[in-house]
Amino acid sequence: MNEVLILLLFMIGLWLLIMDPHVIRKVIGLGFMNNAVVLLFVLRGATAGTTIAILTTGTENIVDPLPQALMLTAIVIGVCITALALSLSYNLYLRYGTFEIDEIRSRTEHDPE
Amino acid sequence: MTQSDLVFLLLVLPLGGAAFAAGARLVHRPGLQRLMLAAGAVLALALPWVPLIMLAGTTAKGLAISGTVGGWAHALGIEYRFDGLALLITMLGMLLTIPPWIYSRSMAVDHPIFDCFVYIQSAFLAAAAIASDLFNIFVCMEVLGIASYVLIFFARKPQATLASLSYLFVSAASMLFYLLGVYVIYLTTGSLSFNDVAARIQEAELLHRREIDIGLGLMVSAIALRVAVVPVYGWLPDAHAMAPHPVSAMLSGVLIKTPLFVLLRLVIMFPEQYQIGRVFALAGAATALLGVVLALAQSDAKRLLAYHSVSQIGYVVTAWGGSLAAGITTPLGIALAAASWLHALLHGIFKGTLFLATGAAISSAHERNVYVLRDAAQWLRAQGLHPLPTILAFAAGALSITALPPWSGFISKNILVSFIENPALSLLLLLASVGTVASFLKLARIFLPNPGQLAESAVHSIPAHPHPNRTATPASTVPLAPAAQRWVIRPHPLNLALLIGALLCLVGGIAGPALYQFSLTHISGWIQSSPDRVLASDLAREEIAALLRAAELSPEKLAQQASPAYLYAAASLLKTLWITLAGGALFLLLRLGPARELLHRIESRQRSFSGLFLAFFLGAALLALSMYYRWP
Repeated sequence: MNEVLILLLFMIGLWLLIMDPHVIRKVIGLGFMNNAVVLLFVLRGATAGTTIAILTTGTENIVDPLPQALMLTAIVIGVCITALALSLSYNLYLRYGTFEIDEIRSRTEHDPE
Repeated sequence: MTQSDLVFLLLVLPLGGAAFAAGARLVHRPGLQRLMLAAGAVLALALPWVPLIMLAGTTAKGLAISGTVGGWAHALGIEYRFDGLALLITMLGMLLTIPPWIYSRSMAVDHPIFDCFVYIQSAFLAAAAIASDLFNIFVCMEVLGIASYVLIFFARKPQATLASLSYLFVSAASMLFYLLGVYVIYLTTGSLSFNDVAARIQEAELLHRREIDIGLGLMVSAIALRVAVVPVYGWLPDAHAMAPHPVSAMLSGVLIKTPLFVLLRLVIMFPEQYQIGRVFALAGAATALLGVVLALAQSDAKRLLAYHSVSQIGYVVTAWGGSLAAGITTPLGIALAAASWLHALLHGIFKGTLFLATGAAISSAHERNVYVLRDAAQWLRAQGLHPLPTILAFAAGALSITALPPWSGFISKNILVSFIENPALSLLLLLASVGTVASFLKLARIFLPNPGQLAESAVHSIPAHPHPNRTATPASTVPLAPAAQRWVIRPHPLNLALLIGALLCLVGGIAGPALYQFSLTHISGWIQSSPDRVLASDLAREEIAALLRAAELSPEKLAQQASPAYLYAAASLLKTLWITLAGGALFLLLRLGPARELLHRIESRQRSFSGLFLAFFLGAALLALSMYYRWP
């Protein structure tokens, strides 16, 4: 069930990224995809055991800590990418006053160098 | 200082340089700022050569330096491994960053931030080269990606911003698919480190072959997107054409090669490597030809060069795939991998030089259309630049890429092609060579002194052109452009970078066989140093060494094939002559009306954003299917 929801989140993100003409919604879509992957890894780690994996004596039946550690890095990278994508979009908005990707594209083609 | 400290210096020095460069942004005294920038450059670009050369002695002997960062236990820490392949990747990256960096000193960019990102890129090239687990490769690829998106943005043109944004969307999304692939491998093998995955993969394959094939297909396609192979090359032309000239040079020299050789390290763990190799060899040859056809259709000078990067990376990928298909542990596999690296290096040099020289011409003239721009030397003079270095650099680059002796492309292309045994692949590469000659005859016309009938007729034939009567030639006696219109703030670094580039093109040609020998030594050193289980192959390490010594195709014999006597044999020179003549004929043929109409159609074809994704999914699906059904 959880995996299905994660897949749905990923697919919504992918749909927004590819099909939506609005640049900001594309960035949001990318964020959805990123979060879906993060959730997938964390879910996998969390269902491997039941007890926490902090320095305790009985380290049996612990959750897998590795995916969480990895996903911290992935989240940081995702934030960087989002910030950069938003600032690039805003830069284009300042120039053309629109976030519609098709209009931006057609206007860059007619913009002098 | 231990050897592992030397390895970390390769990362720490450029990062230190980046810190200095970023710090220079906060300083307002010009003298101090210059000093900090210079210190950053020495740290990031010059000093890493010391550990690199010291480490080369170790890796040439077939040894590797490996361990975990910070002395953590094997299963907990981040593993690294510096071997022959890592040395080759790092060396390529460090060398090809220097001429563009020198060139950028002439341009009015925000130097502290620009330098900072260039150095971060250098540091993470080294990090990607020594990364020894699947997740670290993701991190390094993402950081390299972020550095390149920002560097493209430095052109400060809306076209560049849009190109950067499109590249970001496609590349960031593909890296998430890479992460999904990593998830699959983690699920089936329970580990991410190369050593453990390789040890467990045989067992996991028995239970989960379909899952592993899908995961591997996603990972390999995601990295192939960065390399810009057919069908996932669509992002490259815009990004490379719109970036500032030094960044274009770095992107095509360094940033599309590194992922390819990092991928080699990843792929050899899996039994599917032979299938992947076959698919890549085919895709590479198709890329070489398609890139050239698209390049011939371009009117934008830098986009034309960008399509040539696609085409030349096709050569590199063909040899790369061929080496996997032949088995990376066999002598032929090693020879092909070494040839692939040599062409990657020499292509980086000559394409970088071409981007720098053509960039100087088009920026001086404020005109990018190769059918319109003429008499580039006059335009350069109007900017206060002596035209000789630009013309020399362009000529050296063009002679190299068209593979005329004794320039660098001649050596690497001939060595590479001589090892390709499949006749279909050879034919595709041969056709691509012919197209390359024709395409550079076309581009070289920007330096023609007279506009004459040629430019006029070419312009009139393109109805969609916004200004049909525009001819961008300056009057014969041009006054120096006013300071406000100049794009060059200091001419000397630009000229120096161009002369270094031209010189390297020649040195690459003359020292080509020696460089090939160097590459061969390090590739076989890497193979010998890899633990048996990392190479998912039937051959154990000692057997490989014995094979190399005893086999009919010994390294010595392979090296002979790359010796000057073989390369400059009459047959090889005659073939070059035929290719050049055919290229000239093709150039003349393409100036006929119907051919021109066709090229114009190709240039103005619709390229869509969703098409890039479609190509990615198609590529990944085909790759996974070909692995599952063991095809072709």
